Amino acid sequence: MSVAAPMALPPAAEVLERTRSRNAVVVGTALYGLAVLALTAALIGAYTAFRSGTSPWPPEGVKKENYFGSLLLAASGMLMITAEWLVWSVHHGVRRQTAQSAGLAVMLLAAMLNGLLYTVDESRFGAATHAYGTIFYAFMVVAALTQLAALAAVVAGIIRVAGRQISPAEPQLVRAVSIVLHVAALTWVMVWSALYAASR
Amino acid sequence: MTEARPAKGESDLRPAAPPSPLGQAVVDSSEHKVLGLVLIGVSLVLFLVVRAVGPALGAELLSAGSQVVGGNSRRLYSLHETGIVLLWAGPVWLGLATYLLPLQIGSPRLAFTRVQALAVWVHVGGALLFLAGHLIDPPPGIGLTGREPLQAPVGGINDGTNLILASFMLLGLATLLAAGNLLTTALTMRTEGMSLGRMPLFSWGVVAAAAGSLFATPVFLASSFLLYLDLHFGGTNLFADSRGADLVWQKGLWLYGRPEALLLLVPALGAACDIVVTAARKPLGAPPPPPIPHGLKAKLPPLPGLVTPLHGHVLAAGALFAAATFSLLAWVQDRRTLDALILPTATVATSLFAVAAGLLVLLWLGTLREAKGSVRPSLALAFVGAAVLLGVAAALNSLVAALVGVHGSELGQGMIELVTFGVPTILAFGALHHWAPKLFGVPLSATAGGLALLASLGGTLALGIGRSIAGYAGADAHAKEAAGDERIGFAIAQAGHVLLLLAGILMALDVARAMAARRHRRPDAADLSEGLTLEWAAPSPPPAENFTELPEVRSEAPLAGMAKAKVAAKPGRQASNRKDR
Repeated sequence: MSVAAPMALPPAAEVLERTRSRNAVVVGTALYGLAVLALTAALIGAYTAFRSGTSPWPPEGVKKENYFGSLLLAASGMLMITAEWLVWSVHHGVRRQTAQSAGLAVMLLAAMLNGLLYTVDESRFGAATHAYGTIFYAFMVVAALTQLAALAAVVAGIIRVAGRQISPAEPQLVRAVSIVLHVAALTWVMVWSALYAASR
Repeated sequence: MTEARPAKGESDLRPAAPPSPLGQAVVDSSEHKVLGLVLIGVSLVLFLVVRAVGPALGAELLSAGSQVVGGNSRRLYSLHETGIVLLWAGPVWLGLATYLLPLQIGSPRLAFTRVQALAVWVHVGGALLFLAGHLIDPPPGIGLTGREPLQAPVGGINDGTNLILASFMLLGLATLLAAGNLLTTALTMRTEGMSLGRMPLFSWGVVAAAAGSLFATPVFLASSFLLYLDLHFGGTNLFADSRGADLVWQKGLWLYGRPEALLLLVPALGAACDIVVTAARKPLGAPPPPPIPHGLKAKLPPLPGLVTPLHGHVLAAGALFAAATFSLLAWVQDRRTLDALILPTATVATSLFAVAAGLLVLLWLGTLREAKGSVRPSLALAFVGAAVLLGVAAALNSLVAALVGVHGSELGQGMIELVTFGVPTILAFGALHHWAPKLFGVPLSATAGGLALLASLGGTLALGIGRSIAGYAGADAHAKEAAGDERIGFAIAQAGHVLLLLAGILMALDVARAMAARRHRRPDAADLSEGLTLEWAAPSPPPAENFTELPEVRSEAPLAGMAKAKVAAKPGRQASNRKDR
């Protein structure tokens, strides 16, 4: 049966097709990245609160080893530069440089994870030994999780590039990958600032 | 334009496609409507579970020596107070936002459908862990009823504590995932013409609350994680009486337990705005600026372009965002400021929140007054009126407490019942009634709704005022026994517990009936005269892609012109497609 429609409206399918936004993945990744940084900032807040109320700080027997922390900081800086190189190479359609930058990012992340494991191994205290130990391990877990997420994002990005699903015309996914890399790097910069740079 | 469409009433006669098994259809789905309904349904069931504890606790208080709940009062108290926020007030609004936000902004889906599915099921798992944690072991000092500095767990950590902390992390993670997704959807998935300024006010409330959650929830997660690390590995570092432990609790785990945890109210206020707009059949309007006295006019410089009369819609959106900001400020402020309260239960930031909420109430009243000739009364509007009444009762209670000079005690708990628990609950019931045609395809029962309104309003008032009376009589917060005049207050509160449970049962049964009807119902064509915002252009209930036809969005009330045109198209009148702007 055919009856007159109450109003002449454009078919929804046309409008909805135009609604689908490819920027969603970039905006969403940035928002979730902000939340991760807020979580790290909350841990820094807890660290600062304990530091101001506990003496001595760090507790007896804790040896701050800044060497690996600083190496990780340098790796974080290199990771951020590599992330932008990755985006640049996709924007300009240089596939060889895309492969090189993605490979370098994977290696840097593997090195950072290895450095974190070494830092934990050298700590000589447990998560429940004292408040410093609890927050130290929380920092390490958060940093490791962000680096693992970044590693997964880069690997997924490499697969997409190989499958030609990321192109100069649609670079949003690689921008999202770069945001994840930046968040992993910034997380360690924040942790390093609290644990090593702001010691008293 | 003509199109094949069944006549009114014919849609029910057509054979519906055989539905897939319910469980499979729900678990497999990443459709925002199914996920929203899952959250709404689960939170209603959990509301009943949590509210059922209330009468038992009240009976314990009034039993004068005999034990009703035995040694379980502390864990039941924790389950009741914490569960109301974590298992009901938060998720029910999350469910409504998951369902309605894409419809309101003209989007076929959420930005990340699988992320939302993950968030919903992680939330359900977290809620079950929370219940299990309270059931299997008495949690030693865990739960938001605990006050810092906490005592170290006697005899070490137990499984209940572990489960509750794990549930906190899961619930926090689910909230974070959903908040990020909703915010991304609102920022990137709006249909053509739907600028941020034209977004419906419920969507604005969701955006403001999601933005606040994106910064607040990580702190809750971090604190839960620290506690879990400490306790799980055998430490008690965060239970000591150091200043650090105090702050970790205050800023973290107390997030959802403090009176200032008002973030949940923001989407509720947004929903109330949309209910008022629908009833008034016009966008919220600010009153015109007062006329300048004739003599003064000549002396004043001309108004610059920016100083024009503020539009009510933008003003309301600003008030919602301000409310979210003030609720964050209230949470961030140091506990020591609680000693310098400007009213017995209100800090500066909570007072500023009340100013923003008061501005919205004035806008509602002004809009309804201007549209008095064409206001369409509805049950949802009555729920909004009940919420306003609760706010007024809380304000009066606070003033009385200031005059009497009472601070803290059960009075604070009474205020929490009125504002933090009561207002979001009543507005959630109102929102379910308001959007029932879109949520379920059928309206909810007016009789059951009316009874639920009376029971929830009476119950919240009795609970809030009863506990406040006990506070005036000197009862401590979380009192375990009542004596003397305190018993009068607790007896009134006990009646409130029972009434609220009754209201929950009525709503749950009605929603269950409507959800069952939705499964076998084919979508009816949209009735453009139902409301002014975009979700009313969708069939009832909406199909998988949400819309079959979508109007152009040229104002904050895109269907206003449509409704007028439809009326004008009646015989004897000339049809007009003109939008309201």
